[in-house]
Amino acid sequence: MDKRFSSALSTPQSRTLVEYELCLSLEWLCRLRWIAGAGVILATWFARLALGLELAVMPLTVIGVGILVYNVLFIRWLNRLTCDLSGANVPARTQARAQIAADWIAIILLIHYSGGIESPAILYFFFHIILATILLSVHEAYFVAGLAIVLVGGLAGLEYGGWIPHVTVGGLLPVPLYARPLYVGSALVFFASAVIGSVYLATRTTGRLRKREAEIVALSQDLQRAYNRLHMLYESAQTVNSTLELQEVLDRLTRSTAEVMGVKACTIRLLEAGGQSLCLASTYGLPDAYFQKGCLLVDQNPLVREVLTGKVVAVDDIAGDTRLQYPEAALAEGIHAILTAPLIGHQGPLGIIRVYCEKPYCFSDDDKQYLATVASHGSIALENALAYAALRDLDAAKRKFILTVTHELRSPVGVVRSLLRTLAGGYAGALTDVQADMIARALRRTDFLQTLIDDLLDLAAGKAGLRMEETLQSVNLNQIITRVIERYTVPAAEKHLTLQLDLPDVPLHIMGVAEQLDRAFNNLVSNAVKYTPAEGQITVRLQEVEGQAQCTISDTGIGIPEEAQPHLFEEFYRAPNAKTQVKEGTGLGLVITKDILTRYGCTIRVKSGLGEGTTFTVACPLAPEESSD
Amino acid sequence: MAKKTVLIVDDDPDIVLANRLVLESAGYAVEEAASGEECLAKMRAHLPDLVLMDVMMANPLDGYHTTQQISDDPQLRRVPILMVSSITTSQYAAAFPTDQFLDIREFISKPVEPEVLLTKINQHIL
Repeated sequence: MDKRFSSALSTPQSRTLVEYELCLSLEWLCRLRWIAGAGVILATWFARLALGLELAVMPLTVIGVGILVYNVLFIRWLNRLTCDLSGANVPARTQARAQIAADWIAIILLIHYSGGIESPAILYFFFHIILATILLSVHEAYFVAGLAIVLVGGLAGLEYGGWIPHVTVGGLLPVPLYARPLYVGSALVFFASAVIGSVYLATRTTGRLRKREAEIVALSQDLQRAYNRLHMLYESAQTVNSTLELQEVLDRLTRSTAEVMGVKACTIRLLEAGGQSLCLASTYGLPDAYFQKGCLLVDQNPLVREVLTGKVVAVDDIAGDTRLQYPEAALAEGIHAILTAPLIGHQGPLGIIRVYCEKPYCFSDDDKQYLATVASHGSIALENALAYAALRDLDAAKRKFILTVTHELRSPVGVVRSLLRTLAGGYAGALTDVQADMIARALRRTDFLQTLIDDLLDLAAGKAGLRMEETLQSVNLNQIITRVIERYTVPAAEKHLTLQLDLPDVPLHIMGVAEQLDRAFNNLVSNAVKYTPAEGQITVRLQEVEGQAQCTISDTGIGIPEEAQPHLFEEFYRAPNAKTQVKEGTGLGLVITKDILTRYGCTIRVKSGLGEGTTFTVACPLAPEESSD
Repeated sequence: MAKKTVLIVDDDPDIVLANRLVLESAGYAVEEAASGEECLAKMRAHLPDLVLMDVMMANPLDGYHTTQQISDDPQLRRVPILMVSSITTSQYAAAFPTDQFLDIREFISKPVEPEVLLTKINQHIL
């Protein structure tokens, strides 16, 4: 089941790491060989010229040159192999063998031409043996050690028997030793035992190093795998938490878990019926038919009960396990192992998450831990989604409540007003002055009540997100404001107020809903008329300022005390001086005004002082040119 | 000349009372219906000159269904209908099917001012 992880690995596996090392060692070996080749030539000529030894100068020089020449060839070959960690270094091993073979031919010739068994160069074999143990495997090292013994023994034997000529180094030894059986025999025994001894020691050391190397490789693989899991866990947590829709959360969780763990399938069952049964909520990788068996009953399923206490439980081989409720169904789907982890929220268990594997015994401790982690972050996402669903239900209930109350409150007040207006209009017969006055008073109160209800409901609707989605249109602000001012011409005249309107020549358009904007500006102008004493002045000016439509509504009214200004846009707030001036007022008008204006991206601010009048400034972004009507 | 008849369709007797007083004082004869079914029955028995229909009868869509049935009936469809509703803004009104199917002459929003009511009725009555 770790196929996915190993394919995701980018570090070398142990084999490629050894190859890599070998590749590097070969470069080093080639560098050493320059010294060896040059050393042979120099030593020969030094012995001949400085020490006066009679040796086979020509063959030895040829051997030295030969070493240098084949070293050039090996270096060229080596340059074609690039040492990297991708694992493509297989020819390195071949070249290691070729280099060793060439060196052995060179050294055996060197030994032959420098006196055979009498040659001091025989000791150089040890370099080669150590190199071989470094470069090759243990078996190959013993093989080449054996070969060294055979070669040296063979050479000594051939020279001893006279089958090949013995090359004597004149002046080195007083008497030739190659024909003395005791010397030859003992030299070979010591040589052989020394060779075997050094191979043994060297392979032991390199063996231990290689073991360490393998451990490091395994460790880095583990690390990489842990990193991959962590990364995938993070990714799956990201995916799962990127939605609040319950089904979406569940589906993403099953899919990502199955994919990351590389298993056949993953399912989530949630507790239902007061925790009595576990019913399927999401599935990935299994056919619907598999779940025809229905919900798992908690009290008939000891395995599930164990999981719900907070444990991750593995069924490693379904065939030999009695804990499952429906083992045949699983086996029929080719499932042999199941791992189950609990989904536990703050209030207790929510359900279980399961992964299904097609091989028995396929879940490691890592897998168990991973599933437990997935389950715990999945539980959080699940709880969030459940809470969100509950919130939405609550919201719907609230909407319904508000709509019901709207109708229940609005309609009786409306009926009362209709009846009173019928009376006041004299449609039910002529009224006396006292009757007419009383009815007018009753009407004023019901009118206020109607406004209060309308404002309240509007506000509540806005707060509850109940407002119907608005289609914003390009609205001619000149028209809106003109209409509002016309509405207040008569009331203003009655109070002997001067109502002045300054409009720009070109109509200004903003994006909004005409009725709502009308209401907002109506509230502002209505306040100005209400709170400006007789003979006062009200000026409404619309102009374009810095790319915005700016409307100022100024009056010479009672003004707003400084301490009251921060509270102006609070629900039910009325400035103390406003209360004494005008008895009836809901304290909702400005709240609604601000609410409307904010919806269309407008800002509203106030400048006022007690007894100095008030100026409200509304600024709205202009509608884009093409949508102007 | 006989008095013109207005059929008031509303399940709220108080509203019916108020409207009846206003209309009768203006010289109209008034008939009442408290449901869509009763409205159709009354229309078939005696064809009124105008129907004043409340949208929000017990079943919110009752007014519309009734209007639909009136529009579908060749005998009844020539009677103008005024729709009264407590839906205040045109935005809400736009949510309802309009004169494509139904011969609704005008929407009047509740509460109806007596003067406004009389003006509209005078304007549309046969």
